[in-house]
Amino acid sequence: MATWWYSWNSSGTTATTCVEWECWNTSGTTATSNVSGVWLKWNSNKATATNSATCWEGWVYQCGGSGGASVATFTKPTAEEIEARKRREESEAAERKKREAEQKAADEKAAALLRDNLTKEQADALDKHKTFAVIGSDGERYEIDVTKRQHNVFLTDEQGNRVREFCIHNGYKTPMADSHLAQKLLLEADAEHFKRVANKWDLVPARKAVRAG
Amino acid sequence: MSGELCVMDHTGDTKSIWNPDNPDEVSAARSTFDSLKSKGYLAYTVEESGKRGSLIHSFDPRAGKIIMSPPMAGG
Repeated sequence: MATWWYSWNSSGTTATTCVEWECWNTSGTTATSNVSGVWLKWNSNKATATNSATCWEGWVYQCGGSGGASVATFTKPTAEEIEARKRREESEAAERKKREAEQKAADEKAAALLRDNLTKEQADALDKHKTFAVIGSDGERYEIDVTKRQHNVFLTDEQGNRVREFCIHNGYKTPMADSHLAQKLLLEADAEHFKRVANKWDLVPARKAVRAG
Repeated sequence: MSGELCVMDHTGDTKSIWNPDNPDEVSAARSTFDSLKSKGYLAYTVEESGKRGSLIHSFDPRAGKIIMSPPMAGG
């Protein structure tokens, strides 16, 4: 007795002994044990199984059957179309390259502006640890992590442990280093404003960060 | 000594310079400053490299260097 799956794959007229996958791909009229490839069979014209068409060409054959339009609709691109596509791809690649170069220049410019506004100690820490410390206008010590644009400012305790995390930035239109400079400037000039605007999380050791009020 | 207005933007930053003794240049710089302030930009005067900046809310033609940042928002 055919299993449920087996029967589900059988042709409508007879139970068949062909394997499920092959059954699933058989033509609609007969169960077949022909050994055209599953893929090829899947792509076959409904009237006949063909072993001469490529899978792609077979896939686009209409399943017309007798009297139906079983004409291949696959048409190869013309030389002009190939050329046009090549030009389009070259143009897109050039545009992409130009954008990347502009972004790189902007990143370098912003990095230079940031460095120009750091003390020597801050610049050294930036090079060594990818973070630098800032003393806020509230007297507290903060760390800015320059590897990220968000969730990158931390209040530290006397031991240098990060105890609170802040997320605040000046948007996504400027390079990341501009945002780091903006964070530094605001912390130093008006830490209360900084803390009012930023989203904050208390960092509790060995537990999940808890959003601060 | 010329003043420099440095505005953070997608190119990194755009700088414009004004001569405090030239009214036209001062006016142009003030106009840029005021326009950006009206959009929520923050402005800082910075004295020397690394020194703390000070927030300013109106254009100072005698400021040596002003850095302006787009508005800050919580992330």
